[in-house]
Amino acid sequence: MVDVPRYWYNIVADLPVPLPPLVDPLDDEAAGDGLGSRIGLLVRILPSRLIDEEYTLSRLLPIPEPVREAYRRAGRPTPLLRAEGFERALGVSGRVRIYYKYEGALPTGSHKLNTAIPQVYYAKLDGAVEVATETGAGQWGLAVSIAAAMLGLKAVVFMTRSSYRSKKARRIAMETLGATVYPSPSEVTEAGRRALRENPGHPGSLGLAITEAIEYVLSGERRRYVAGSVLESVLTHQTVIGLEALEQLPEEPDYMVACVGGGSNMGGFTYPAIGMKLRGEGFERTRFVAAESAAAPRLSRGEYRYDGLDTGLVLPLARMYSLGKDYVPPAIHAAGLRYHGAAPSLSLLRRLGLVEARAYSQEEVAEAARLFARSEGLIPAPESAHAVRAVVDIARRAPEGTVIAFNLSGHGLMDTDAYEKLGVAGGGS
Amino acid sequence: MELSRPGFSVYLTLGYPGPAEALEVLRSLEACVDFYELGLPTRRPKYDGPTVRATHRRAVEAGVEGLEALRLLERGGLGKPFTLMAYLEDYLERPGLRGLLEEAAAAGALCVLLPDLPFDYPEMLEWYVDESLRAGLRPCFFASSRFPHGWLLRYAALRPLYIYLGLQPATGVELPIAVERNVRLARRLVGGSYLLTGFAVRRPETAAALIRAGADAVVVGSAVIRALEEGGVGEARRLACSIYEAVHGAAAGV
Repeated sequence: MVDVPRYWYNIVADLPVPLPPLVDPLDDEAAGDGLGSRIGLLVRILPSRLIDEEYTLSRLLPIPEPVREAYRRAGRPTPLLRAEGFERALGVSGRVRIYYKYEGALPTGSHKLNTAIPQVYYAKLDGAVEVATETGAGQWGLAVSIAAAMLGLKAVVFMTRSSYRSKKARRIAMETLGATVYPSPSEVTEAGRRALRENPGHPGSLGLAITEAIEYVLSGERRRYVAGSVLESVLTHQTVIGLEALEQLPEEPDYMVACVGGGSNMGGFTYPAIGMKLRGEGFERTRFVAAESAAAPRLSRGEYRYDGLDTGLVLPLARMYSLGKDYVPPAIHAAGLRYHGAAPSLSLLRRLGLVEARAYSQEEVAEAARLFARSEGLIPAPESAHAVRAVVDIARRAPEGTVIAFNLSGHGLMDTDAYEKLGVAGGGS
Repeated sequence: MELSRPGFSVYLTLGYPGPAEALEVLRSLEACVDFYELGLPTRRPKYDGPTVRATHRRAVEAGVEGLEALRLLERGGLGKPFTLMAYLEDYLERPGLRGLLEEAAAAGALCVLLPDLPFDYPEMLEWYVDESLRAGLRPCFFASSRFPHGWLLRYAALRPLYIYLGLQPATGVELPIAVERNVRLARRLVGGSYLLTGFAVRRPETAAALIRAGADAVVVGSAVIRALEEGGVGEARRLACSIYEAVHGAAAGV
């Protein structure tokens, strides 16, 4: 019986080359707002222990017992399932074996709770009474709302305006849990008001919502910002997924696949295996595939350079694949993938050729989601359906005996609006 | 030449606070340092924090930039050994890595620390080592607090003058990081290599704790610069001397 891991895995300790540091902007781009060093500012923004986990030489980070206990209460370990129905539907049965780790089994419906719990717990250790964050489709905001409710803190969520309108079910769920949800751009912060002045019809972006959440934290007392992705410590928390999967997988896969927004689900699922590959302990032949949205193809078409983690440059700069901090992706249904950059470690692994990237349009993804839903009885989240789409492509071309494992990072039971608009609902098989 | 164990060093950008006073300030600290770390002024101190960045800006604005700063040392030199810090990015095209190292050696430096080398030019590590030895210098290496273990092992195998562990994300910026844990881990990986620690060390007790955790030496930059700005040379010397005593006291088990 697989148990909740005792440690998270920090891939930075095993990278083939050093990870470029976060830096303050060199030019005057961020000067003049009185905030000073962006790195120095982190101490007022992030929970202290999260900062420590961001800057550690340790390969393994002990999971605090209250966090492990909360993981258990939330339903970890999550199952790893064989997708036999999907194999049959793809016509690869007996030739290709497909497994998926099902993070949708968590009460949030996605993997996001894996880092929401420790971050809210760390905020509480700092004496915070409120946690603020951004959200796209609402999965991260919902996870923070649940973690805050579990640990007795108040959650404030800046939800991209396009999702605020379309993802009503998640918004109401967050509010039911006691969270306050603002559409971003909002009238609550200066950054939001400025964006609305420039474009009253602004659909919002994750980069802007981050800036708003941080401005909210800095403008009050006993508040902490909790980060949904991109930071190394967040990816480290998500490695519970991959560490469990290593115990559960009956065979070493030829492919490990996950979708990428900021990179926490991809990193969480694949890093323990990539680490073993880097240390020469296994997974030598495994290929690691990141599936992203063609609307925000930062790993496929972005530039590897220093760029802002958020639109307003309140956070430090990170070297990553980026489409530009001001890029506002089209209002696609997979709102969780509408981020301009990718986590620095994932970007570095992509640059080194250890991770491959594939970008898909939402129409291609919808087709795969329908096939998966009707063969496995699980509706994937529109974000996770990008991974499903990549699996379809790989499986159909794969030679006999190929093994594919992917992370089904969330279910789509609250994304029926997306599937209705994309024509996934109805219409036969 | 090996550096003394324990060691205490002060970092200053060469040319700060001004071309006329730079040497005098360094000499005023001489009794309380085992060696100096001197920065070659640059327009792009990309991996430094705000205090050190300001010293680069001031030196450059006063007309001292890059290798020209070494001329300041021709006016009588220093009574303690010194190493240099430079960003490789500034020298790749002109005069090239070889030119940089040769000039550093001619000025009497023990090594040239290139903090951007592991992050921006990792493929040049061996070349840097070869060129350092060729110029009569020892290599010295920079590592951050999120650094691959394989690279720390590799550093140690290349017999450096020191391995500099940056304890914080940037110079002079203190975040809640368990720096002693990172020093202990680094020590386990680098074995007997000389481990120099720095970034945002500002108190004698912090420096002593670092030595007790396994560091061979501590370097202080931003705190000395702030003391110099706020209280003049006397204040900078008082701070340096108090940390020097803490470092040596900790090593002696005081």
